[in-house]
Amino acid sequence: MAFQARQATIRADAEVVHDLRVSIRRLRECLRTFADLYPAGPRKKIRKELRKLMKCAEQVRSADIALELLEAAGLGETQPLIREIREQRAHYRTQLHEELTALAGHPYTRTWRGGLGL
Amino acid sequence: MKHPALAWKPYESAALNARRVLPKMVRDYFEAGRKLKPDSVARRMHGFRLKTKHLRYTLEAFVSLYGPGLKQKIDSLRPIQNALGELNDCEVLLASLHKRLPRAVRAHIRKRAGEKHKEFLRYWREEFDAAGEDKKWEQYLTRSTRLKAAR
Repeated sequence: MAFQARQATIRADAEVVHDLRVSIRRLRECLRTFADLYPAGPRKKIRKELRKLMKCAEQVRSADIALELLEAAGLGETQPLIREIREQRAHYRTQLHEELTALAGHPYTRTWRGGLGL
Repeated sequence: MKHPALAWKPYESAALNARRVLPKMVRDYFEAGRKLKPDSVARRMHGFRLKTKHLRYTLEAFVSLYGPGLKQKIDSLRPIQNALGELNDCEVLLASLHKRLPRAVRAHIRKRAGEKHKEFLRYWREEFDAAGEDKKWEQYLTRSTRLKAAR
């Protein structure tokens, strides 16, 4: 996930956001599925941080999906709805970038691993 | 509350945990999939999509234990995830932008959702849940060679 998070701070395309979401979801699922095997406090804290990041990534992803489907359905680049979704996407992308930068501002992978006893 | 058979036991080896939990998890998955019909509502299809993801990610955690055979089995979930994912994308878009979409666009997206629903059901019935496939999954997860060696 740390690798995908770094990639998403550098690039802004749909693929990198998709990959980031998948990596977050994998980690969240792992923490949920094997919840009994990890200390509750750190696990919940990590899940909370991941939820926040996921929400930002989801908003960008939703815009990407909407654009893809609408363009496939015949709506052109110049349509007001497409332009509006593009603007929203740019806004959500900025929010995601801010979240990722804040996350990278502390040694989170070391903190998380330590908390989970890994 | 989690079914006791689906609870991981820290004092048991990963192999024993896998052998106890995974076959039951897969059995539950097949039972849930068989309940889906051509007229199942979007929320129900989405619920099964989440179940598929949960199963996939759980199985992926055990690939090193079972070997490449498990990877192949996990890959057979991919068409289900793809069809249900695209179906969900269409449903979400229709729900969020319905009134703002031109009629032709709405019709196009509804048609696509219908196609993805059918695509899922066809794959499920004819391939993933073809006769005996559920037993093959359970036998595989219960009797893997590497697991025997790990006892």
